[in-house]
Amino acid sequence: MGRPEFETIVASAARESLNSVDLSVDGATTPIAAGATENIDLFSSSGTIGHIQSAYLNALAPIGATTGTHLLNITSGSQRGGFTQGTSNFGSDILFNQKSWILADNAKLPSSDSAQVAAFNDNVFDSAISLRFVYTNNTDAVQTGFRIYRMTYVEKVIGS
Amino acid sequence: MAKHIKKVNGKFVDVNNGNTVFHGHCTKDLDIGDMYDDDESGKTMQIKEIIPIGTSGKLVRSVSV
Repeated sequence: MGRPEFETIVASAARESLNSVDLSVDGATTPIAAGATENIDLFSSSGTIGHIQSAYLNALAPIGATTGTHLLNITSGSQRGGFTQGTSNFGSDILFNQKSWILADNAKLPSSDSAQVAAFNDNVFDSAISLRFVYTNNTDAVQTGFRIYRMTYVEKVIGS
Repeated sequence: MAKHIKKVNGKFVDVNNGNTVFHGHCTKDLDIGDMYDDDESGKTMQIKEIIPIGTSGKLVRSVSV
């Protein structure tokens, strides 16, 4: 199962708070089958808007895979289509750091670093509409490696 | 009985009884073991973990079944 660690720093009379999430999902106990998907939905506290500041996302290459790709996608839980997506071939890891894709050897959407940063910076969410991180294993092997989802975001009280 | 939420005509309904559950995002009010149909991937997802964050935020992990 996941081993989450969280930290919340409240500032400015509790009108804004800085939150960090560190979720490491151990594929040995929570594997992702070939063709399967894992969604991670992040909701802010009630009465707040969340604004993502940075993220570290990592998925190891599925051990034993001989074909296909796997991918990570950052999107909204309320709409179709990702904000930004990184796809790697079966033998390569996927890595997103800060605001752009570091390793995605099949395709990066958008393709340029500056466009990835812009797409990432547009992401907001609240207590009803999530920011969603999607991992999809389109290889021919079970994903038994770690998936790491780390993010830092600011919660702003609505109306403040 | 675990909920199984599906989007029908723009509303989220529980396929077990046809009741409209809520408007908004389909994982918002689900518990561990509940399911929802992800209209982006077309897959049925099951909630595996719900982790509280901060004041009342949360992280919800679901996997296709």
